[in-house]
Amino acid sequence: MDERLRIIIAKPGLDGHDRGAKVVARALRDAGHEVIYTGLRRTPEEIVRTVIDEDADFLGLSSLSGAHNFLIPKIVELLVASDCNDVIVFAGGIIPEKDRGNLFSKGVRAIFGPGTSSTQMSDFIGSAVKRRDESLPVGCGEDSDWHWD
Amino acid sequence: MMDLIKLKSGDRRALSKTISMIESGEINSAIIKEKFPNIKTAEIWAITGSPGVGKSCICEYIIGDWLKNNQKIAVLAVDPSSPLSGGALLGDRIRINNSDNSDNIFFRSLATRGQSGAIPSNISDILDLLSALNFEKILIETVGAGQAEVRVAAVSQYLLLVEAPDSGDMLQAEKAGLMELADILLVNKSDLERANEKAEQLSLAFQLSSNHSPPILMVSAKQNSGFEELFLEMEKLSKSGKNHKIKSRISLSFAWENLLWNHKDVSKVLEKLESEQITLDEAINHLKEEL
Ligand code: B12
Ligand SMILES: Nc1nc2c(ncn2[C@@H]2O[C@H](COP(=O)(O)OP(=O)(O)OP(=O)(O)O)[C@@H](O)[C@H]2O)c(=O)[nH]1
Ligand SMILES: [Mg+2]
Repeated sequence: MDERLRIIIAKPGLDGHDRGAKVVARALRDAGHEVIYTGLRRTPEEIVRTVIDEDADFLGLSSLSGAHNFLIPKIVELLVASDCNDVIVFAGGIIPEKDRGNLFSKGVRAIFGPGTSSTQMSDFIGSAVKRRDESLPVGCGEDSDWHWD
Repeated sequence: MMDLIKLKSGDRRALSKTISMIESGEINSAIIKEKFPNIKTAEIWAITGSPGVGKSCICEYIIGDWLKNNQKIAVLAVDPSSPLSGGALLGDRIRINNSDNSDNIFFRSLATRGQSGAIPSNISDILDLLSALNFEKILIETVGAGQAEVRVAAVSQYLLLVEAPDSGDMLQAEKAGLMELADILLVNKSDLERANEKAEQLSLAFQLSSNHSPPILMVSAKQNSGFEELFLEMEKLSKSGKNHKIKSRISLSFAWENLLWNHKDVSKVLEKLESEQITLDEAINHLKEEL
């Protein structure tokens, strides 16, 4: 890994499933990044505050409880309102195919389900960083249809 | 570059971006001192102790107490970078539930980024910046890494050393160095067996060294007990405003070491030393001349 990024892994809402988030956090650390794990049950406001204080490049949201359709767009909305358009947002957990299009249209750039490997995540992060370096829109508040599949 | 107007207006994002620039070396002490000429120092506390003794859990209580008084506070939580990947898992927030729920607290996780100390060497610049921006109290949670911890005393005004009955013992010598500097000794996990024993051992150790004996307090972060006493002792210290002479000594050597490692010729000199082209004395003389 040639660039060390700061990545937040957050668990929004009342969802108590944290195994996946911890696995992902460790995999990203092993890929050479500085990963900040928020712990369970954070509100959208708390997550945005963490993104700002930690100067995060990426925000990864883990959701297995079914509340993704509400919580994820809310977080993106708050990020944009807080001048964090350039933060790259991705997600994982139990997020059915039928819900993904809407989340992509809200600025989420990748969604990963059960069985995701660290190579898949790294490939996404690499592509997103490449877009950022080329000044192509990729942040959650930047206008683009681009997403990873 | 640093956005002074936004910084001074209290913009959190400008602050966190500036801290990143300090971390990466883009901004150095000279620039901070130039932009903020009359830095009044904030009250800086450090909490240290072996891994897993409960530093983060205790931070939560201290932060809670400070927030009650409506003070503007900053927390710097340090965790180790992996020597293999260079990455880091910064997990202190998990145990500090009030780290993100108020606008009065700025909370930043820092990785050691492979520097020799248990705190990043440019932390003093970050502290200067926070002080300049009128943070009233700053709390540093260090990596529980042993001897290098002594450096935290150099950048902080007050030092809390945490022990727990189940903590792996630090090497005696390392512990002695830290104990000498601690302003308060906390025995956490007083809910566990053998906590009393631990406290007795510690007070015995201090009876032998006559000149310094900090208060030894028993707390339990799990059961929320003992914290009123801790807050009282902290209040007392804060009013006394005292500063150890020994801390100045460490500050000096810490700053000196930074100068050395930031010296423009340091890698060249190291290489020559390695290949035995020069002696240690010659190396020191060369570096001294250029300082
Ligand atoms: C283990 C488990 C639990 C454990 C959780 C333990 C813990 N501390 O995590 C316990 C027993 C506590 C539990 C409780 C409940 N569970 Co449960 N649980 C599971 C189960 C079987 C496995 C989840 C797991 O840990 N997988 C292993 C990890 C490693 O995988 P992962 O989380 O999917 O993560 C991977 C990817 O999704 C992705 N990923 C995940 N997050 C992120 C984030 C980012 C940024 C990225 C890039 C990738 C990523 O990468 C990971 C690695 O590949 C799932 C079923 C399933 N097969 O998923 C149900 C499941 C999630 N649970 C479910 C439910 C309903 C519950 C309960 C409400 C009650 C119940 N019926 O059991 C409670 C609610 C608890 C709460 N407070 O939220 C449902 C959710 C339904 C839904 N969303 O519509 C599921 C899907 C079961 C089902 N088929 O009904 N559960
Ligand atoms: N029994 C008991 N356990 C405690 C107490 N305080 C903390 N713990 C537990 O000790 C473990 C470590 O707590 P942390 O606060 O993360 O410790 P730390 O010193 O910050 O750890 P590092 O930052 O990793 O060095 C957690 O599992 C806590 O739940 C206590 O008073 N009693
Ligand atoms: Mg900790």
